Parts: sequence; structure tokens; C-alpha cells
Amino acid sequence: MKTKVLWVEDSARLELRNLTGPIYISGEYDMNLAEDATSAVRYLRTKEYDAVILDMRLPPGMDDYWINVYRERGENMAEARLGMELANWLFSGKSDHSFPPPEWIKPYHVGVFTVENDSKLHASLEDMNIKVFEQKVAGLPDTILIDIINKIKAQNPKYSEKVRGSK
Amino acid sequence: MTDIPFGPIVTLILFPAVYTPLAAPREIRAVILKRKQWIITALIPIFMSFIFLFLAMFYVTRNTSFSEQIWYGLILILLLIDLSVAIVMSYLFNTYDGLVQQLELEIFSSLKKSGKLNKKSVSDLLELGIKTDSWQIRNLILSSMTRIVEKTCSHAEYRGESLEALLLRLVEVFDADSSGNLQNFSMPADMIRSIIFISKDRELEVRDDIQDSVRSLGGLSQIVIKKAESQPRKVDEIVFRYIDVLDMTATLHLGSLNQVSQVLFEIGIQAISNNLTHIGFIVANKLNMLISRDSLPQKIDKSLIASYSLGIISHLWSDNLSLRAELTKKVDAIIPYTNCPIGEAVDRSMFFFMNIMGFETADKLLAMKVDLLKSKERTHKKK
Repeated sequence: MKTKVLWVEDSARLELRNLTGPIYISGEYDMNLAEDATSAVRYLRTKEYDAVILDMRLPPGMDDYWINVYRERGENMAEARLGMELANWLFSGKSDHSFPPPEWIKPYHVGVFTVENDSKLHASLEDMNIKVFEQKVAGLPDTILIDIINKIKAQNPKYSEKVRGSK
Repeated sequence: MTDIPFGPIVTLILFPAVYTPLAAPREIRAVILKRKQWIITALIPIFMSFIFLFLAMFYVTRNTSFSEQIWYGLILILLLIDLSVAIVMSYLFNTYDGLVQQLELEIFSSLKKSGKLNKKSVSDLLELGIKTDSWQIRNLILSSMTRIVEKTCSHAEYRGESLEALLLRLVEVFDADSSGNLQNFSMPADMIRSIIFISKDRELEVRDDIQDSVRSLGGLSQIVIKKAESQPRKVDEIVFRYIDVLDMTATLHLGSLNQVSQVLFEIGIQAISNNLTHIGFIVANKLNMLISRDSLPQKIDKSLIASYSLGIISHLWSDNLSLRAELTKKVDAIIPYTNCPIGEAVDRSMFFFMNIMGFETADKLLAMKVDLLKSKERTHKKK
């Protein structure tokens, strides 16, 4: 069975071809791309994923809720950190979003892949029990997405049981 | 006070009403002139100005004396009226913002009353998008269209077939763009996502809107791919997004599966012929994913998806020697869903393409079949 992956990434500065190449070549992944907070919520509500890779800097998309959060924070992706807001909606129970988060998703399904790397961000992720983190820096291997997916899968009890079973 | 400058005052009053429409771009003027009620509303203050003036003339000719303050007051009122007319006229005639907002209000009003879109207003909005040369204005119009789509799909009476007027001409808006700018091309993906997700939430069947959306994404991909030479990274980003939306459409609405497969195939062919082999490969990957998805009901006929999948693989096969090992794996993955041996599966796909006059693909399938069978024979002999 293919590993279902959602990559939430606005991809403005990325070489999508290089990064997604290993995913498509392997044929082992069923991947969706959501480029803003609105689309991410829609994907998460309609499909169960084995791994969700979150960027912190996201545009809001069309949903008024995300547009308002974005406006309140000065319409700046770095300041708004809608990726963090998305994680809050999923796990902290603090979000006022009109839709409840999907029940299937747990912190072990999520990894963060972002340019940011400050202590406040790490503290917030730790509070939500999100443990997989990778910073976007120059010179990352082309297989970085697969590496993140493997790290996410390794902490998922469903996969670790399978690994134990096969041993 | 008998020497009141009536001439200049009348000119001043009429100036915005006459000059602004004349100075407006032709496409804006055409839309406004179709709407007599807007013009009448905008001209009401001018009629009021003339009533004031006639009253003033009437009293002047009867030698009624006014205090200076009354005259100053009258002139001030006329100037204010004139200013308001100037603002309203230039808002309507000289800014796309005003006009697009008015058209959007018209559309929302008809949606509220009848649950349907006002086709005339939608057509005018599309015409503005088609005729403009500016990507910023096109952005404004597409944002408005996105709001219209979202609101229409959320309407209680929406049944999946209200957006025909908008979706069928969406491609024209982009086709008309000669600037080579790709800034707006991701917006239709948002629009179409709204349709597929809201339709799924409301458990609507696949009807015209989803079919038209899939068709639009196919048409838009063809336009984008042609611009790959100048902006390869942006083209990748947009086409990846379209392919993803198509994949999601087929996932959420199984009734669209065959049409999505066909459009994916067409995108792949166009991409390969424009040297975007990686997009062709992603399409092959998506088609394989669609056919092998465990959520696919047994009753669904997978032979058509298998044909498109084998078709795109054959195009990749002919020009990419380094890819052949990966492509062989993909062929092997499809075969179980065709319920026949590899040679017969490729033959069926070949006949399918011959029937729809896809002779080039049929030829490539034949060549791939020969290569595949030889390679299998060699492997067999070695064993």
C-alpha cells in the first residue's frame, strides 16, 4: 500500500521538480500538495494521510478565518505563521475555526519543514508533541522529503508495530 | 446677482457625466452602457442640480432679490452635487474595482433571489477578464470569480450545475493573455477546489460543474505548458497544482475518474512534446495511483484508466532509455488491473487509441510491446 502524504507548502522558492522527484520516481507515495491554509484544512478533512509535512509560512487561501488571522498579523507570512496556527487548530484546541479538526490525525502524523528555526517555534511544537523538524537550508539532499516522511512514519505506532511484526 | 455665470455652472455640472464615460476604456464603457439603471442612478444628482438652477433662474428673472449667503449656499450645494457625481461616475467608468464590485453584487443578488447566476453579468465579468491586458486587473476579476464560485457552491439550492456560464469560458480569460505572465494561473485551482470539496461535503453527484472544471484544468494546462521555455519553475508549480487538483477530483468524485484520466493523459502528452518529461512521468505516476487505489470500488471499469496509463508510459518509453527500468515497473503494476497478460493488455490499449484516432500513441504502444516482450523473453531464457 502506498504511503499517503500531504505536503503543505506554498512552494514559492522551491525547486518542486528536484524535491518531489524521488517521491514520484519511487512510486511508493500517494502525495498531495496544499499551498495554503484553506486548502490544507480541506485536504485534511477529506482524506487520511500517513504523513503531513507542514511549512510554517503559508498564505491564507480563501477561507475568511485564515484571511482574518493573516490580516490581524500584518499580512506577512513570516509574522502570521499560519502553519503554526494550523497545528494549533489540529492539536491545541485553542483555535476558533468553525470546523473541528479531523479525528484521525495525531501529532505523530506531522512533521515540520520550514526556513524558521527559533526557540519559540521549537517550544510551541514541543507543547503540541510534534517531534519531527527539519529546517530548509541550502544544500539539503534531494531525498529530504522521503527522509522526513520516514521519520514521521517511524514514530507512528501503526508502522512501528509492522516493523516489529516483520522482525 | 443677475449676472450669474449659468454657462460655466452648467458646464461644470455636466463635465463629469459627459467626460468620464468618453475617457473610459472601451470594454468598461460597453458594460456600463448595457445597464441603464446604473446610468440613471448616477445622473439623478445632475437632474437635482438642474432643478436648483432652474429655480434660481426663475427667481432671478422675477427680480426676486436673494441675500448673498443664499447664493453662496446654492453654489456650494451645486458644487457638492457635482463632486459626488464626479466620484460616482469615475468609480463606475474609470476603475475596474468599482465595476467588478457592482457586477459581483448583481450576481450575488440574482443568486440570493433565484439560486442561479445572472448569466449576463457573468458574461460581462468574463469579457472584462478576456479583454484586459493587465494581469493585476485579471487578478481582480479572478478573485471576484473565486468568491462567486464559493458562494454559489455554498448556496442551499446548489445541485452541481450552476457554474456553466463561468467555467466554460474560464480558459478564454487565460488564453487571451499575451503578456506571458503566469501570476494568475494558480487561481483556477482554488476555484475548482472549492467546487470539488463543497460538492463532496454536500454529497452531490458528479454533474456539469465538476465535468466543466476538469475540462477547464485540461485547457489551462495546455496554455501553461506552452510557456515552459521562459518560466520553467513557475510552470512546474502551476501544472503540479493542476495535476494535484485533478487527482483530488477523482479521489473525491469517483464518477469523474474516466474524464480525469483522459485529461491527465492529455496534459502528459502535451508536456512530453514540450520537453517536460518530468511532468509526463508524474502523470504516469498519478494514473497508476488512480488505478491502484484501494478505495476504488470493484464495479469501476479500470480498463480505460489502464489504457491511458499505458499510453503515457509508451510516450515516455520511446525517448527515455534511462527511464525504462522504472517504466517497466509501472507497466507491471498496471497489468494485474487489466486481468490479462502484458501483451494483450498493451494490444487492448493500442486498439483503444486507434479507435479514438490516437495513431501516434498506438504506434508507440506497439514499439513498447515489442521491447517489453523481448526483454521478458531474455529474462526468461536467463532463468
